[in-house]
Amino acid sequence: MTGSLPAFRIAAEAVTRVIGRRHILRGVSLDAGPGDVVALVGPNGAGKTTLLHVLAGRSSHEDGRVRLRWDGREVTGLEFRARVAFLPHDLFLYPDLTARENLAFFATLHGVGDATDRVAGTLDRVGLARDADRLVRTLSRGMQQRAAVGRLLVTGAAVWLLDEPGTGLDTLGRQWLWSTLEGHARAGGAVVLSSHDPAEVGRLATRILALRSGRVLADLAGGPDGTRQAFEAIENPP
Amino acid sequence: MRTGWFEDVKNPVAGLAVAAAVAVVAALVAVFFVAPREATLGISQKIFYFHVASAIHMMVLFALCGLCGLAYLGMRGRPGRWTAVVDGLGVAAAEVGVVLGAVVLVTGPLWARKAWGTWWTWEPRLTLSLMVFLLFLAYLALRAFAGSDRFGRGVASGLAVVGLPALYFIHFAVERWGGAHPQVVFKGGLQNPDMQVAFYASLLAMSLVSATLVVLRLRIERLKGRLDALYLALDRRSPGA
Amino acid sequence: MRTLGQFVAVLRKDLTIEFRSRDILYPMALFSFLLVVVFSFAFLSDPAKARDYGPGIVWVTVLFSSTVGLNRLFDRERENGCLWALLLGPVPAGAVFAAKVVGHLLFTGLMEALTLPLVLLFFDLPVVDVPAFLAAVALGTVGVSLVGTLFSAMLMNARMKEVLLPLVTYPVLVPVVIAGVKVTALAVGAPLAEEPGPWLRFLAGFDMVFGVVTLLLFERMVRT
Repeated sequence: MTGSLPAFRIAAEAVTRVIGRRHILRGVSLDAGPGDVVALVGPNGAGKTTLLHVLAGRSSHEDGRVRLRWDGREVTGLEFRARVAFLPHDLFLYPDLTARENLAFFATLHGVGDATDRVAGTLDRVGLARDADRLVRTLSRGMQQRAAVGRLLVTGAAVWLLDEPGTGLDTLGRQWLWSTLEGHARAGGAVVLSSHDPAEVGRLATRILALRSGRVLADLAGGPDGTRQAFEAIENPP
Repeated sequence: MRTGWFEDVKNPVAGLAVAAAVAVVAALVAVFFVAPREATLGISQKIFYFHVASAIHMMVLFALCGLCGLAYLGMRGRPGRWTAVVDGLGVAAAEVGVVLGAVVLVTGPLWARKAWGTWWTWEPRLTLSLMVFLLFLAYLALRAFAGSDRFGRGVASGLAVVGLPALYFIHFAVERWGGAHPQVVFKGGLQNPDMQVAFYASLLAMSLVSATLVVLRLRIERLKGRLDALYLALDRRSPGA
Repeated sequence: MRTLGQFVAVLRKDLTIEFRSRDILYPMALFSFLLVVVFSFAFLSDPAKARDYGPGIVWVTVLFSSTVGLNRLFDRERENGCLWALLLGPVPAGAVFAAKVVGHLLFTGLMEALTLPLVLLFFDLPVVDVPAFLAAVALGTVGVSLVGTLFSAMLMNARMKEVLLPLVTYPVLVPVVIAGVKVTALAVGAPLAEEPGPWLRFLAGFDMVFGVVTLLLFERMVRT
């Protein structure tokens, strides 16, 4: 994150997603601003991933809306996509490019300045300086995950959407991921992530959304109590 | 309570269907009993009336399908009443268009065998009909296999839109390509007023038949939509699995 | 300016990957070579007729091989959901589309440079009007790339995309094949009472119209 960010807020308002004859999301609302880390928890099929896809603009939705207010005005289209970055389960990295080339490519797409230094710095931050010139295909899943987080860093986007970012990371990797996400929030960014890990949610989340069957079961503040209640809510639905 | 089949006539679709049936019979009478036997081609010339009427309507439906695609993409596939209508009309036009295309492509060679002594020639209009038929098939294949969600519908609409300029280029190319193709027999033909009666009767009959089929198909689409909505309402109430 | 930079970045990325893996050019070139060989056996029973078949074979080769290239070009984007990474970035969809078209054109052009001389050689076709022949191949390939790229991008995740792609694109590309075959026949000295000029203008018109139409449609179809 370079420089300080203006005030912004990304919001999903009563989003409904229908596939065939089933509701995947039933009027889910959520919002996040500077310093927020919103955790989406819920069993498989609860709609966590779909919600992230809708927020990112990868999925369409049948009802409700997604909006981003940035510095006092509503932004859409290219500017929306410059501010919001998405790390899905399928990583969005080219397997036949090196980690460095991937980051340089996405830096160019986002038009961020002094790309070479910025990419080198980012590779350092994600701990891939030594493996920067290996093809992504040959990296372990954990290293790929690090490179993918590097993509979020290098684009300078304010809103990070991450789908189970802890996947494939070892203990050390998780610690690194958590401090990176915390760093992003502290620098004035916003994070929305899905997670199955109470430790992760307890440590990071400032707000927790417990989802089940496409509905928000509980909307809780972060912290140990909220985390416990959220995981209880999804395990014992009312 | 319904009292008999004529109750259905009050239903506009049924009315249209009855009108179409009457018109087809009337057109057949006109073709076989009013229009005179053509001097050189004899009875086989009578195939022309329905052949040309089908071809004209196939083209109209193709244009309709393209315009629906344009409108669908114009609305960016946003869910809503008009999107559903436009989308359903596109499918209806394409499916009826395929049927008409089949009529054209079966009657065409039958005619060609008698008139030109060969089953198939790459005569420009016949070729054009074949290409329209293929584009319709591709559109329906996209609808069937590229998914029926917004993405699949968007791709199919895209093809329908691309089809419009494509048809212009295909038309131009096959016209020039044919070189010394057999003269299109009826360019400025049909001087006989009785033949004209038969031709316009066939045209009207095919209009009504196409309209009936399109409306019926659109109705199926609407019912499907309503069924989906019912299932969705049920799903909304259920707590979910 | 920014859009141009993004266009160049996408194109360069594709070329880098291709330079490394060669998984577009090799299959394309091999496939087209085999096509030409098979055509030779299929049609060369009477060498006197080679000139009649040759122009058609040139264009069937171009069409079939470019389809192979299209499938490969987008397989690459499918892995790891990469096309979405492009489309969710702050890049106009038109820039992505243009880069893909130009990439496909470059690969197809290379394939043609390798294969088409073979067709001319095997079928003993003396090209008398070289500029017309080259213009027809260039203009025709642009048309094939435009229409092919639009639909292969859209069909990337469809079932049976290998079947759907030709089903959808070949009817639209019929005018290109007709015009291409005509000009090629004229260029190898077929006794036809025509000039290549109007057909070349026709191809240029096709490219222009479909350049605009596909560019506009891609944006719409992606964001629908």
